[in-house]
Amino acid sequence: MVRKIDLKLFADKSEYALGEPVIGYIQIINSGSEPVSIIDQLDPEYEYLNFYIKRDNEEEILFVPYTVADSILHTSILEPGKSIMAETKIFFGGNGWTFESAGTYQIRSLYKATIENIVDIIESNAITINVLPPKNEQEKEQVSLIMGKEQGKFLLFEGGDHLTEGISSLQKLVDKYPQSLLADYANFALGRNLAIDFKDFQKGKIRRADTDKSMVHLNKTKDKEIGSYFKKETFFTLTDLFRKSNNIDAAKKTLDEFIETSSNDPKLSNSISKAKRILHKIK
Amino acid sequence: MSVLNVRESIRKVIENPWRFVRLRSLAKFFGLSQPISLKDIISKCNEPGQVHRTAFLEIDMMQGTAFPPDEQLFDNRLHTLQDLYLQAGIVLDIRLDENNIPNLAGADNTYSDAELDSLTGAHRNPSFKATDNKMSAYLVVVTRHDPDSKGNFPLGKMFDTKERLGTAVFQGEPFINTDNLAFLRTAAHEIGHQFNLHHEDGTTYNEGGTLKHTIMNQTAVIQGSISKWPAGVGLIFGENESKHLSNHEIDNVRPGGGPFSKCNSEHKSWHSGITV
Repeated sequence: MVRKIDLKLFADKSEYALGEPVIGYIQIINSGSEPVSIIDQLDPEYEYLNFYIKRDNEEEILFVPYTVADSILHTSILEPGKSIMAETKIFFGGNGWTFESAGTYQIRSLYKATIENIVDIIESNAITINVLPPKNEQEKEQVSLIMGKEQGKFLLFEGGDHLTEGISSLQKLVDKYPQSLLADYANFALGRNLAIDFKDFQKGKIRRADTDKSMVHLNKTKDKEIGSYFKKETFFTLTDLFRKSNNIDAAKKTLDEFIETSSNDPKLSNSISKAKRILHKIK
Repeated sequence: MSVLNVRESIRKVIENPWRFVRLRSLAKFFGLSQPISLKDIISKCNEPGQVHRTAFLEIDMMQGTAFPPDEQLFDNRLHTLQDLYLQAGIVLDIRLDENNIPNLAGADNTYSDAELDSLTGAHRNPSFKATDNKMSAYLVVVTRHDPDSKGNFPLGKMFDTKERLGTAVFQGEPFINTDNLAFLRTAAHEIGHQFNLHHEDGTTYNEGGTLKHTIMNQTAVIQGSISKWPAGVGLIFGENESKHLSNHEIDNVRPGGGPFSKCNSEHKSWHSGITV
């Protein structure tokens, strides 16, 4: 019996525009011959999984998430050959925008956890991404409209009515440059925000979800090349909105389209299973 | 900090009409027998090598929650938030502020990071802002956080790691709601993050044959240890944690003084990944 766990790190692509939100996808695989119990809280805020990022020839730095959390023990048992996946928004954290200028970045991750004296320290493969500078004045303006602190927080949280300056800039981005790549992410965040209620302590009341406005934003991103995480969240949110509106046919159609267009994406295998479960439930 | 400032800070703590203040904590800290007088304390503060830092700790609570327990009996000793920090070199001036923040969540009773961000901005009391000689920390007791992607609910959080400006404890969590030890420990743990302490600053020690974990260890680490919860709890800051709180450069400790993780080379040597 051999205990062996591997950690794989993926990204959506190798080239990103400056200001484009980068997601790190992590897969923990049981490559040994016995079942293993692992702490499965893979968001860096729990500090079992960390990301390290190195720009060009600069010193490697730890990605510091925007929040740090404590929780009770939560584990998963992985049978031999099985794996779990998680995604992390590494584009914005405690130090602001991670990829704040154009250049070549190397990213690796490290999983470190101990259960009953069994210490797992597993390093992932390193990946390299190129962050490309804006090509013209228009793209420079698009970058400046998305790369503010409030915009970063809004994209990270996928909401936050109190971040009024950030929302205003993102709205300007989608209004002025509706066909731009960065506008797709702005539409995503604006749509996700409006899809649910927001408990606004600055106003002392709840702002209710606005299904129609949310759909307008999300429908603009649905067919765009925005990466696996954003794609699945867009489709699942639209499905929820259709179901809440009792438009079950549209919900089914949305899920069918997601399954059809994502079946070749290994990062979305769990999401496809989830989509199939929902389809089965609402049929 | 000057002697005058120390004296003034101690006087304020002792005269503080709020809970948590117990002269026996101070006596224990200085190794004195009870009762202890203000004169004794100031005399002790003036001794060479005594380093004291002071901080406001503003605590707010949401409707349907409670303030952290005044004191908790554990391992045959009474513990308070003030004790824990005093023993590590920080005199906490605890101010229980708002006790009725509206619970806007309604039936679902959980909050997102964005909503907590708006809460902190709206309810932090400027009266307790930091001064030249006094730090300022913030804790809000909230019902529950939204579940993460795996369906887990956190016990506590520090938000805005850039500035380390606020913490929350989620008292609606059954683990905290039913166990005052967990409530007090989680509050101390989260405030520790605000003073730039990390999980890896936590250490272990042996007490009567039981492996104990100091405050900055994650709850899950204690639960997953051989000694388990609650036997594995060490309700104390360890040597590294105390050294950071009492001796590291003030900007690397003070909430708002710099990013989470940024500290000196000694701190870096305690664990990997600290950016100096």
